[in-house]
Amino acid sequence: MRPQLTAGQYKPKATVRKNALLGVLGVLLFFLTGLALTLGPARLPLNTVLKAVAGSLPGLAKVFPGEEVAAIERTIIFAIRLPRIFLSVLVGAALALAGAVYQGLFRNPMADPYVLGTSSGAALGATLGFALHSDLQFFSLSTVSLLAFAGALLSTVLVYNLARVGRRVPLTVLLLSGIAVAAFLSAANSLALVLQGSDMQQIVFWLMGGFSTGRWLHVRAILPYMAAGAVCIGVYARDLNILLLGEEKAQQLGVDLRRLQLILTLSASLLVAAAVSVSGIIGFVGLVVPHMMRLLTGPDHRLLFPASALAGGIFLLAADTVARTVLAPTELPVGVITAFLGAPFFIYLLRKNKQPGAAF
Amino acid sequence: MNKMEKTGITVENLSCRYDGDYIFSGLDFRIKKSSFTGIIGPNGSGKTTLLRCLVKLLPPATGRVYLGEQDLARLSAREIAARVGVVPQKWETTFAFSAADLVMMGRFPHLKRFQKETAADHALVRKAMALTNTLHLAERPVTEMSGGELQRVIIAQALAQTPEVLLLDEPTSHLDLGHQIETCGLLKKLCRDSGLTVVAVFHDLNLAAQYCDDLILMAGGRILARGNVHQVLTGENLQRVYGPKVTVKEDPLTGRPWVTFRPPVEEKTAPGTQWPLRLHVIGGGGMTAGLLWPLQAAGCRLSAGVLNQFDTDWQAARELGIPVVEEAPFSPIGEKALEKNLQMIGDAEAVVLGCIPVGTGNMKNLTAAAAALEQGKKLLVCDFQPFAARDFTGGAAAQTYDGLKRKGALFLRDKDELLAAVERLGTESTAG
Repeated sequence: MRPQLTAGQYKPKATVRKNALLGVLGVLLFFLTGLALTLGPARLPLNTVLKAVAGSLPGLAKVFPGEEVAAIERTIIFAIRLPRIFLSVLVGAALALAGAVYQGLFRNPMADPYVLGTSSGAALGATLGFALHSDLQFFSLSTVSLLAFAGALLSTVLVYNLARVGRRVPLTVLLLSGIAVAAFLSAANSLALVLQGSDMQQIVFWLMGGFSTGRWLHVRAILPYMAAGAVCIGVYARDLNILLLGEEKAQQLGVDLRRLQLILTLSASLLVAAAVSVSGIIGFVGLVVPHMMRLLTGPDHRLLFPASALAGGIFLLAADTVARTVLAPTELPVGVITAFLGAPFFIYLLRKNKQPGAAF
Repeated sequence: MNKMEKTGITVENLSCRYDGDYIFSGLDFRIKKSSFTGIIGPNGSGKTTLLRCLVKLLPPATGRVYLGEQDLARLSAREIAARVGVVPQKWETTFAFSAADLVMMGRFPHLKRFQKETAADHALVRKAMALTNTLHLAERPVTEMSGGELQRVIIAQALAQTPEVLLLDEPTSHLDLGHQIETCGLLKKLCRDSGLTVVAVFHDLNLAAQYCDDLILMAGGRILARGNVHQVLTGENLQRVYGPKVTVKEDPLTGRPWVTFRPPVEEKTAPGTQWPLRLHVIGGGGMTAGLLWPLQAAGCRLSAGVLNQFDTDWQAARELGIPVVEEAPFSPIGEKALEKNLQMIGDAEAVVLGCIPVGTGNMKNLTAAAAALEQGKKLLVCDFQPFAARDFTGGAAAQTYDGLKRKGALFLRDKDELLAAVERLGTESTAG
C-alpha cells in the first residue's frame, strides 16, 4: 500500500523549493550583469569592472580606491553600460510580470502584452506623445508615458471585450481580436508617423525596440511607475490564484471580481506603458518568460510573479547584450533577438496545445 | 426556543430574471438550520439559478434572501463566502494547483489582505481533507485527478471555508455509486455533527429520498411541493412534474420513499386478431408477480385471481391496475371467491396457471384451472418447476395437475415459452 502523506508535509517542501528557485535566478542575474559590463565595443576586463563597481560602493571605497580605474572606463561602466543594463532588466521584468498577470487574468497561456495589442496601443500613444512635442531631444517623458499608458489600457480593454463571448473568453477569439486590434493600431501608428514627418526615422528605430539610447534619466523616469505596478500586482497575487479557478468560483470564494480585474489590468498596463515608453515594442518577453517559469513554479502567482520578473530581467539583459555585441559595431534592435527566440516558442505552444493537456 | 434561531435560510418572494424572462418567480420558503434539504425538479426548472441567487451570484429581480437573520443584500461577497460554501455542478481547471493549495483557497474569505495563512488555517485544511478522504491527494495536482477525486477536493475546499451553509449543485452526478453514498453520508454527518445546513440539488430522486430531511420540488420556475420526503415524493407530484407515471414505494428497511418505474405499456390492438388478448392469470404465493408486467407489455388485457390480500402477487396486480379476485390474508379460498374466479375465467379468452405451490388452502385455484379447460378455454400451465416440489397436499393435487395435461393444457417450461405461446394465441385470426 502507498503510504499516506500527511497534509503537513507539503508546506515546508514547497517553501524550500520556492526560495531555491528565486535564489538561483538572483545569482544568475548578478553574474550576467557582471558579464554584460565587460562586453561591448571597448572590452573591459572583469577585474577593472569589479574594481570600479566596488570603488563606487560607500563601504568598500577605501579598500578599492576608484583611482585605479581610468576615467573613460568609469564613464563607459557607469554612464553607458550600467544604465542600459538596469533599463533592460527593468523592462524585461515589467514585460514578463505584465505577461504573467495577463495570462492569469484571462486564464490563458497565450495572453501577453504583445499579442493582446497592449504594446501596439502603448506605441501609438507614445508616438502621439512624440508628435505633440516635436523636439525629441527634450521630450517630456510624462506626456509620452501618460499617452502610452492610455493607449495600453484602451487597447487591452478593447481586445478583451471584443473576445468576450458571454462569460467566456475563447482562445481563438482572443488571439484574433488581438491581431486585428494590433494591426489597426499599427496602421494608425504608421499614419501618425507619416503625418508627423520630420522625425520619422528616429521614431521607427525606437519602435523596433531597443536600449541603445538608455540613460539613467530613463531608469529614473520609469522606476516609480514600475514599482507602483509591481506592488499592486504582488498584493493581489493570492486573489489572482483564486481567479484561476474561474470567475464564478472566485466570486463564491469572496473575490471582488470587478475590482481585481480593474486593478490588475491597470497595473499590468502601467508596466507595459512604462516599458514601451523607454524601449519601444519588444515582443514575446511577456509570453515566453512567464510560461517557462510556470513550468518550474506551478500556477501559484505568489511564486510565479517574482520568478517571472527575475527571469524576464535575465532574458532581456541577455538578449540586449547579444544585440549590441553579436554584430558590433552594428547594433541590432533587441526586439529582433526576442522575436527570433519568442516566435518559434509561440508556435511550439500553439502546436502543443492541440493535444489535450495542461497548458498551464 | 426562538423560531428565528433555527432558520438557516429564508427566501421571501424571490424572483429572478434572465434576458427578460423569469427563470423563477415568487419563491417563498424557509430552510431549517442544520437540516439536509434537497432541491429536485426537471431540467430547466430553475434549481441551479436558485442556488446562484442564494449566494448573490445573480441579483434577484424581486424579493429577499436571509442568511440566518441577515439580509443577503447587505453582505459583501467576502462576508457571504465566509458563511456559505458552494460546490458547483461541474468544475474543471487547467491549472495544476495541488489539492492542498486548492483547499487552502477556501480560507481566502477569512484572511485579511496582508495576512499569511496561519497554523490554524493549515489545521482547518487538514481537517476538511480528512473529512472528505482526500488527505492522501494533498500534493497531487488537481489536473491529474479523476472526477470523483476532484469533486471531493472541491467539497473539502468548501468545508475549509468553515461555512454555516453548504450549497451543492448535483454533487453526485459525476460520482460512481460508492462515492455517491460516501458523499451523501458525509453531508448527512456534517448536518448532524457540525450543525451545517446543507442544500443540494439532486437529479437522483432515490438518493435524495434516502438522505434528505426536506425536499423542495421545483417545476417551471415555481415550487410545486415542499416538506419532508414523504410529502414531496408522491407518485402524483412526480407524474405532474416529470410526465411519465412512476411508482413510489417505501423502502421497508429505512422507511424512506423509493421511486421506481416501468417502461410504459401500450395496449396492442390489431383488427382480425385476438389483440388485445384477454388473459386470466391464476396466481399466488408470489409466483406470478414477475409475469404480470411482461404479459401486459406483450399486449394482454389481464385479470387475476384468486390472490390473498397483501401478498406479493396481489400488490403487483394492484399496482398494474389489474382486476383481481381476492381473498382475506392467510385464508383458504372460499366458495364466493371461487365463483368469482370462474366468472372472470369465463370472460377471458385464455387462462394462465402460474407456477404456484398448492396446499389445501388454494386447491380451489387448481380446480378453477381444470374448470377453464372444461369451459373450452385455452390453458397455459407454467410448469417451470416440477410439481412434486410444490405440492403440499400430500399428492391429492398432483392428480388434478397431471389431468390438466391429458385434457389438452399447454405445459411451458419457462417464461420465454409462455410469452411465445401468448404471442401465437394473440395473432391467431379471430375468423379461424
